[in-house]
Amino acid sequence: MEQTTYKVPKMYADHHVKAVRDALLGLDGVEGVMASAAFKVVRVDYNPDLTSPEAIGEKLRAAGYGPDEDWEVPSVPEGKEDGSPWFRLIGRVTETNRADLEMSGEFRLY
Amino acid sequence: MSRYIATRAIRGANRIVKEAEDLFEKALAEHGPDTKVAFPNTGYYLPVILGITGTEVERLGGLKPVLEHARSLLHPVPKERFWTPYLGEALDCGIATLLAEEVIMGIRFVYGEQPERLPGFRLAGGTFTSPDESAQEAIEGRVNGPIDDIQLRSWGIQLVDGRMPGFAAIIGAAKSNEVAVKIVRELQMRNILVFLCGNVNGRSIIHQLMEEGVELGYDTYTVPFGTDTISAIYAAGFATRAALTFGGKKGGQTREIFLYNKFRVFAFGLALGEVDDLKYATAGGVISYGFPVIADTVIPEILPTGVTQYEHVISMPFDDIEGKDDLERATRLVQRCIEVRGVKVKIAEIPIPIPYGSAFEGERVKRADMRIEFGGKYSRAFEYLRMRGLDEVEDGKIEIVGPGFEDVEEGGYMDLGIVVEVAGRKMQEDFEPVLERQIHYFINGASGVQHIGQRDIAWIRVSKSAAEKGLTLRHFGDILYARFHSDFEAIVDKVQVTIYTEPEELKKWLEIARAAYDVRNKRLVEMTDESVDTFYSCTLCQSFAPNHVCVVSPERLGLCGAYNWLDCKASHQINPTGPNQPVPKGEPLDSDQGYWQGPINFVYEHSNHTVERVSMYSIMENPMTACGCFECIAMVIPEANGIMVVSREDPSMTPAGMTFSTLAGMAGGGLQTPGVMGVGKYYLASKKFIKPDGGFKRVVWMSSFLKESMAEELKAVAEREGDPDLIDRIADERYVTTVEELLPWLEEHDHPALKMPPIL
Repeated sequence: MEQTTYKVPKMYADHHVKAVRDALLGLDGVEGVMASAAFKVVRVDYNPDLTSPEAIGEKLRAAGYGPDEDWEVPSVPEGKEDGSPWFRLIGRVTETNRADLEMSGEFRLY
Repeated sequence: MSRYIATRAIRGANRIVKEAEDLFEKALAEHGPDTKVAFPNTGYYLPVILGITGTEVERLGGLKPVLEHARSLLHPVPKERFWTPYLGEALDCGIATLLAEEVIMGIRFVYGEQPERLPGFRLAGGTFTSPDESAQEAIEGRVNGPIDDIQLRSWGIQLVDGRMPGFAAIIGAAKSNEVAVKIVRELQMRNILVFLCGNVNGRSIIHQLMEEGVELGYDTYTVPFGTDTISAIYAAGFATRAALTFGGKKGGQTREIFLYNKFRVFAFGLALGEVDDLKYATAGGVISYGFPVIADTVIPEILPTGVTQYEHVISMPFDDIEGKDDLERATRLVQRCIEVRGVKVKIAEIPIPIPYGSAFEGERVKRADMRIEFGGKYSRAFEYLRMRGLDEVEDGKIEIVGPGFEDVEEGGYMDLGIVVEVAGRKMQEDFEPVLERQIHYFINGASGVQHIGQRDIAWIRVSKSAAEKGLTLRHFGDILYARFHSDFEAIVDKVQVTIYTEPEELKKWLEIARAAYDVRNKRLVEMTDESVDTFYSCTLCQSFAPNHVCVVSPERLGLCGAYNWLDCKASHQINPTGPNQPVPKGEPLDSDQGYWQGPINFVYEHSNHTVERVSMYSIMENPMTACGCFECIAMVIPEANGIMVVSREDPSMTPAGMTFSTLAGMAGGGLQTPGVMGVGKYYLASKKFIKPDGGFKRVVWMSSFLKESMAEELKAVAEREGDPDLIDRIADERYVTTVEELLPWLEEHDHPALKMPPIL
């Protein structure tokens, strides 16, 4: 039995872990899968007579979790660019403090 | 705020929103915008979305603005070397995550993927009526999914009276099956509701508990939501609905809903195993509700208080917890969770060889797992509690008269009589039935023991595993002794328990008990609102519905069905400063209409001056308010010149054009709405039921559940009203679900309401 490891950036949560495991465990020759959503890494124990790291990688890709592929998420959401009003710190801190002040003592109401 | 946590939470939020958008586009293309989107049996649409945005999503197309709102809450992932306060961003992203998760779950319902399929899983049933009932077998192979409104309401009273101090949402998988069971048992013993979800490397705590044979379901306070983190959204939905149902909050009052949860709903998250980006992002969402998160792995902590009452995020690496073994570590982990949330827990120490707590109250013992049964089809069991003089009761004496069940064959049965004798300076004969009814709850709290019924129709089963652990008849006595002392110490000074299995003695005591039941029945019939000069308040639910006050009279029990006048009277003796205060009737202003000066003054004073005038009986004029725990809703149907009564067990459509869940939003939250009233079901049988509005003859429609479950009582009401066929003249959901169908039905069945004076 041999072992191979893949970086799977798309696997950032446990519902992806289930999908990755289901895909790989259905492949002939795969004997064990250790998938970590925290580290976004999959370690596969396989029988080299029945499958290969390439085939496993291909299986991952077919399931939508290609090694080293990531979600196409805009790095900066709209309106939150550097220099946008959101990053004028002083205004925001003042707002926060006011909200805190309002909230203090509110336990009497609730 | 930890940059590490903020980075992961924000990154997770950006991705889950993207995933929800992709899924939405796919569903829209495949099903179209008019496809219905709903969670089952709830009137709160997709509850988190309703609570946070005020949007009532009913169709797939309605999810688009929700996703746009979620996207507007997203922020860029913090840069490597750009140190700013991240709390606001992380919390915003947490909310975006919750919205996206609920969108995903709504769409999964569209695809029939929820509740999640789990081969081999069997949900513990919710029926008390027959442990042999096999209807529940239909729900095999799926986990629970979201909690329905009926269950939320029926837990309401336990949440407010402290029997259920809060809930724990467990995400992931424990170190071992043994630890998983221990954690859940520790929470159950404290009566904390447990929600289960998430996985680590494909393995969920739900799998672990399943493998260990732990019963999961509403009855055991353990609700499996699903095996991924997204299903944790159902916990946030439960919390949101608590604020909407009991707190009188409305959808869109985001801040109020969060503050309500922070101060009133004692919940926390427990992450077992590795914490990924989505778990951090979801935690960011639940922190806004004021719920802290505890992890059993090494993660950064957020210790300052603020959004939550105590620490926000706590790391307690499991192997570093002090303790002689993993089980002791599990116990300490649970204790720490409780400390961090400030959950108030009261447990009575019960000296028996099996776990004990309210969470075991609903456990069923199936015939195949049964060691022995008392009562039921093949034998007789009764329980009788009586008051004696202080010198006639020997405190702590537990006596078994006759043989134990050790010699009875496995799966067999025997007769049983439980006689409890109590004495106390403040004890009154009126309290006997109140205390006697507690025997059901007390015995049921033992894990592996099932108790159904009361008086001489009690039915008790003991499981094989409980018997193997050493449970004997004497332990029933130990339980009763300990619980009566701990729960009723103000009125009970001495308790003595005698358990009869010897046939002659049992027969003799059964006759004595039956004579006493008879006397009590007659006394209850004689007890009317006119025969007393004091009613009792019940403000128990004010912890959840701050403006609501129940006034309980002999002829109108509390709307939750759990407190009648005698219960309140006893409760006042037990806790003189508690929620059940005497309300002197005072000057009768119009007793037929249900107006006395006393209750009016009391309700005004104790409803934060929001309810100025209250009628004890009327639905039309100044009706009594309701919290959210009501058993039934009565509502006027003007077209039929009468009212309909829908029970919380009935999910069907009513002639009002709304289901129970939707109606509940109008009836609850301490609001006084003429024409709508939350009531206890036995109030229907009272002579005072909507007396000023025409009484029971006004009922034109009622849930068939009520007709069946109260057949005897309703028959008596029909005879009292001078029309023995009255119940058959009342429509129910089997025949009528719209007001258009209702009128011809009433005419065809010659319903008396049609000839009565106009109700409006």
